[in-house]
Amino acid sequence: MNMTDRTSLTLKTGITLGIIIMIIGLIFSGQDTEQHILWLGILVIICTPLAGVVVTYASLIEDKDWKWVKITTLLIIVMIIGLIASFLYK
Amino acid sequence: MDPILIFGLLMIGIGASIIGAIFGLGGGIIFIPVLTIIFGLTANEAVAVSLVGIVATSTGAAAVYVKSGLSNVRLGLMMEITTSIGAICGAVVATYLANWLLLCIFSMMLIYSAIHMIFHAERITEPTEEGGEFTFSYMDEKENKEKRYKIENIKSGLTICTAAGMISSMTGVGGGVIKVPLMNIHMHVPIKIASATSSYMIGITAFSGAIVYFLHGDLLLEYAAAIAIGACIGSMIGTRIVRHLNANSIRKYFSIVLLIVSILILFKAGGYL
Repeated sequence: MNMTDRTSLTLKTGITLGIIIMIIGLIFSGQDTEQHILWLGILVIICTPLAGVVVTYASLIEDKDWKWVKITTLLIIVMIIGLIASFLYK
Repeated sequence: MDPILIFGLLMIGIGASIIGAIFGLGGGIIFIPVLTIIFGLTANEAVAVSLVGIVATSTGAAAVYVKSGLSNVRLGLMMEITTSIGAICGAVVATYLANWLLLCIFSMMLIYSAIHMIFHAERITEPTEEGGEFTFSYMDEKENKEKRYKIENIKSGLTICTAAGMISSMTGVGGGVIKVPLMNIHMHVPIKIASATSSYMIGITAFSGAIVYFLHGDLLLEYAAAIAIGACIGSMIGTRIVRHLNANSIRKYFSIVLLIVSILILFKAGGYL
């Protein structure tokens, strides 16, 4: 399995899992457990793009594609800085 | 939650994400006004729900586009760095600049891109036999043949991308409407690749925004879930429609979308949205 196949599979798995959990949450609408289930489903959906980047990164390391490993490392650093800044200023 | 409300949110999610998945846009330009005007959410609540919808739209589309080679992951990763740097800088300097002026500049850029796309044919650089570092290929399902392309003007493209990220974070309008024309017009990336790569990138950008709202507890979970489910369904439909469209059709429709978005932005600048 190459890098794009792994990334695509990660995105598909995350989206499918998130949708299933959210549909279950909406079925339990009005009950105490609803909010917890929806919270989990939305967390899965939101974190799926990040999981895609992590899997891409791991695949690039495995392929010893060092130039793109450096570029992805830089992206991850910038994302972390952005996230810290967002939490501080929100 | 009222089933009619859930149905309404699902439909909004589906509609916005079909357009988003075809043209490489997040859909925020549709989600936010609809959520505030029709569903009565506050601006803060609408932005939070919209970000989850944007993640669902772009990730649902990218899952398909990455597999088929339409999303250029390497180009996306590279451009995402400068976009994110621009977004961080934009958030810092936003308070010093008049928002209406930025929105007007943004709108003019979109009108220029739309007119350029209408009057100029797509320019793709045919790679040499040896290829090169920034030479890629993809399968055009509409024409049923493999197409190769070479990305040009990378340095200046990345610089403009920083500006795009900056303007996006200052105005709150997504970057897809700038990134797609930038890749297509300036970097000679085929429109199908440009919009699919934009979808991939928007998911990463929106993740950073959505997770902050989510962890702060500012998210209306039922609204976000219904919009996200609709967005996933819509993105599946959108990616199927793209297979049957050729580059000229996508460019033509994209320029119309750009003109509509630029008008909406002018309304926003005037305080009507």
